Amino acid sequence: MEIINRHNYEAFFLDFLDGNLSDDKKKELTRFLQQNPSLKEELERFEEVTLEPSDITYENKQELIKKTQAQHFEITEFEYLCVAENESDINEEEKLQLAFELTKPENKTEYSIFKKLKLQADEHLIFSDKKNLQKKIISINYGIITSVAAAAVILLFFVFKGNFINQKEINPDTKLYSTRIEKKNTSKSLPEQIKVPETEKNNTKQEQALVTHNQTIKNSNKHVLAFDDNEPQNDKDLYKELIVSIPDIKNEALISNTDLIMTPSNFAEFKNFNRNRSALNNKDKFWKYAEKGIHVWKKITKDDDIQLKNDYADNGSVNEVNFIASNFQFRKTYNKK
Amino acid sequence: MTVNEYNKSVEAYSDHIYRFILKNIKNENTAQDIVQDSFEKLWINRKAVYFIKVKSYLFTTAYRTMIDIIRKQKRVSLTDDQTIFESHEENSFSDIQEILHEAVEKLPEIQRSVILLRDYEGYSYREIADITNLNESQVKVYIYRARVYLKNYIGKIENLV
Repeated sequence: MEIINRHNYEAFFLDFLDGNLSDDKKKELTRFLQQNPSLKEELERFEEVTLEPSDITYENKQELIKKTQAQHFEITEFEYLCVAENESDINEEEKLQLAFELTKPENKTEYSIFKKLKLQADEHLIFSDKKNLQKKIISINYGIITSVAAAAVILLFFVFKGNFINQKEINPDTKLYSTRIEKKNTSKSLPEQIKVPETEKNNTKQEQALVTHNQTIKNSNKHVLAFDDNEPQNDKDLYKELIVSIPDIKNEALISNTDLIMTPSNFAEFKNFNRNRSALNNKDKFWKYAEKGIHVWKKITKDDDIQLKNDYADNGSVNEVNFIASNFQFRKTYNKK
Repeated sequence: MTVNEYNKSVEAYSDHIYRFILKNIKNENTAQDIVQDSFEKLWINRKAVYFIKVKSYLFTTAYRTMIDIIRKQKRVSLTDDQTIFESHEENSFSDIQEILHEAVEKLPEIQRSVILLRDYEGYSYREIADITNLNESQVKVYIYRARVYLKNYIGKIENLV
């Protein structure tokens, strides 16, 4: 520091008041004040304006303090370290801290208890009602899908045709209808004639006669379609529209009014269905699929009014198809025995 | 999820969920009802649930159903109040697991659920948070507090014995 003089004495005064002057400088300052008594008064005024430290304190210090993890968890620091280690949630710094804590004998017992705190599930507690929760798996293969589709096609076909035939039957202007009236009872009005007495249901001779002479009869509340090569030409004309609408059946189907019931044995043949189908033609496959499909259909819908029974030759081909629904009965013969 | 996968889920997880719920509510019939309800909801939503997420879905559904039932019954407080230790002098424990499970029953509801999920199923904090609708930090706090509670409980028992 430079030598004190009248140009720089203020800096010396401030350093003196702050206690920053060395002993040598203090002596120099004293000499300077003796030589300049007027400045001694100025120094004394400096001393009067010195501020004393305040005793005011900030009361909200706790709000500013950050909690450690242990404090946040409301557990001790050592407990935090033990749990963190058991939870595999401990960092390197905490590992060192824990190691240090474990050097204290009083912590070892507590640490050993922490090591035992892993809960184990009781394997004897089991849920006993699993079977009721599980759902049955219905495996649907290609054959079944095809079968159901074929059955649906047949059902739709007959539903449509059934409506068609019913419309024909209630048309009094058609020869078809009048012919049938003559065979059954010419004295009755149209609605009454449609209703066939129950006693006629099992009258085989009468039914056979109807089979021979008519292509359409109504018996036991079932509509029966029929086509016969031997029918009179004029009758054939009557059914022209109907025959044209189902060309595949023309000249091949026969009348039947016999109730045909499918039995489990009828379906036994289908156990070999998949094995033999490669040897069959499309027609045979179609009817086998259809028969199987209707069997599935009946199982699903619990509907016993629909039946399809096929008659098979030894080689697996279809000889005859018999379909019975609530309002229809149909037989189609491919190979006469 | 296919029917087959659903049935596998029944085999794989119904016991786990049953144990978890039973340990929480100590009522076999209600626990069974909750398991059935959870799988019924899974079946209804099976098309929206991936097989790899089934376990989490089931635990989440079961836990929330359980919480609803508890709230309705008003049997257990869901706050984090500490339970006062009871006298255990009349008990004789065959192993540490028995003591632990008795201690678990005395934990606050939320602490019990998270520690069961952690120890029984090995779920991470994140997974437990998803199941219980908490955040990860809350899950960690509850688990740490539960561990200390269990430690204190065992220490007290050992002193008594």
